Amino acid sequence: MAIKTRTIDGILIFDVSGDDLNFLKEDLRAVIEEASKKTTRIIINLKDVQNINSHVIGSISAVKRMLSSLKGDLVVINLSEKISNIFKVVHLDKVIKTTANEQEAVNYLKNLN
Amino acid sequence: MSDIISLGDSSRGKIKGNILLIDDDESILKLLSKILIYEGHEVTTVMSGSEAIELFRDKQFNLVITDMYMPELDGLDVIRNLKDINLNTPIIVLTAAGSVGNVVQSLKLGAFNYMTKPFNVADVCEIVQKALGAYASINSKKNFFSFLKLSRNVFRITSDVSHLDEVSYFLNHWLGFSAFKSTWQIQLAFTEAFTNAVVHGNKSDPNKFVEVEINFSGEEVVIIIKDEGEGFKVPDLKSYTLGDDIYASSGRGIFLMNSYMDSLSFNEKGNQITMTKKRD
Repeated sequence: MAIKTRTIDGILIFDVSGDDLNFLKEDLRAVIEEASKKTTRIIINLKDVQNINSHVIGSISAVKRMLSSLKGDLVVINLSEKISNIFKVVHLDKVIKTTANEQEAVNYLKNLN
Repeated sequence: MSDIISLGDSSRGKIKGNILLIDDDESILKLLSKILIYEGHEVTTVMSGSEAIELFRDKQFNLVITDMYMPELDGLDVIRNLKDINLNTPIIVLTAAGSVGNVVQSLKLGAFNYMTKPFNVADVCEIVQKALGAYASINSKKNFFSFLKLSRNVFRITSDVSHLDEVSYFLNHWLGFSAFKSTWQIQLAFTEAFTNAVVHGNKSDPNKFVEVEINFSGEEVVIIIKDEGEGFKVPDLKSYTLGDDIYASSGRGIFLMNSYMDSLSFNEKGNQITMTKKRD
């Protein structure tokens, strides 16, 4: 799993990619938490991710909790049907905003009070 | 049409199939349809990846041909989603000449082959025949499971999560071969259990082993994973929930395994998990 970052309108976007199953190689949570010192509006793009597991889910939910405490927010975009299903099973879809495209996520975070 | 492809005109010896074509360019759809229908295939066309995924869920196809570059869902997205629904259906990717990077990626995701545009009729027919032949071969092997009572496979693996991809490849191969439909759910449960055994059970100690047993029969797959750790307090799985704290730092792994497998149990010590998934 590899993570690249870019910025749009002050929003930090993490493009995550990789099809391997060893999710412990890259600590998504640590990478995002470090970057979050600069901004509290974050998008995680899972377009090029085929598999996730409870470790990744734990990282995403920890980041969400941290950002909420800082009055920021997180949007996860481009979830495959499989990953959407996993989000629903662990009830993550109830607390984390997901969108099918980047522009929608950017608009939401730009208008965040 | 039957979900099993048939041998066509014996004089020509060609295999005929039920083919799904995906391209946002109507002229390509028309041209390819014309070629394939002339060759005796049944053809369904759609102009978007999302439409294709919806259709693929409800209808059996022997082959999918998808364009690589489409708005919203591209060819790689289509492959990822279709492979989650049915591993066995071959997928051919249409791409512009010179797009090597995406071709490599599509093959890694499980595409059968690719065709570059502009294509010629002979190449199309040859690649389609090879793909339909591969599909027919897998289908013929499904019969093997009607008399298979048990295939028992045991691995003793060092405590390293980097072995996960290799063991999972074997698991997927058998699941595809045996035509299990819920492959990704089984793979996810396996990934959770194996990672737990290595990281929490054996604490990644290179001197400790994880024993993985994967048993296939015609009816089900049983996965047993045992580590050499001290075990843990086994939760009551019948009433196991994630609790009120959605942000809880642990518990999701067991919850996922319990949700996606038909049965889940631990030994008394808590260092061995047994998971079963019945054929869909």
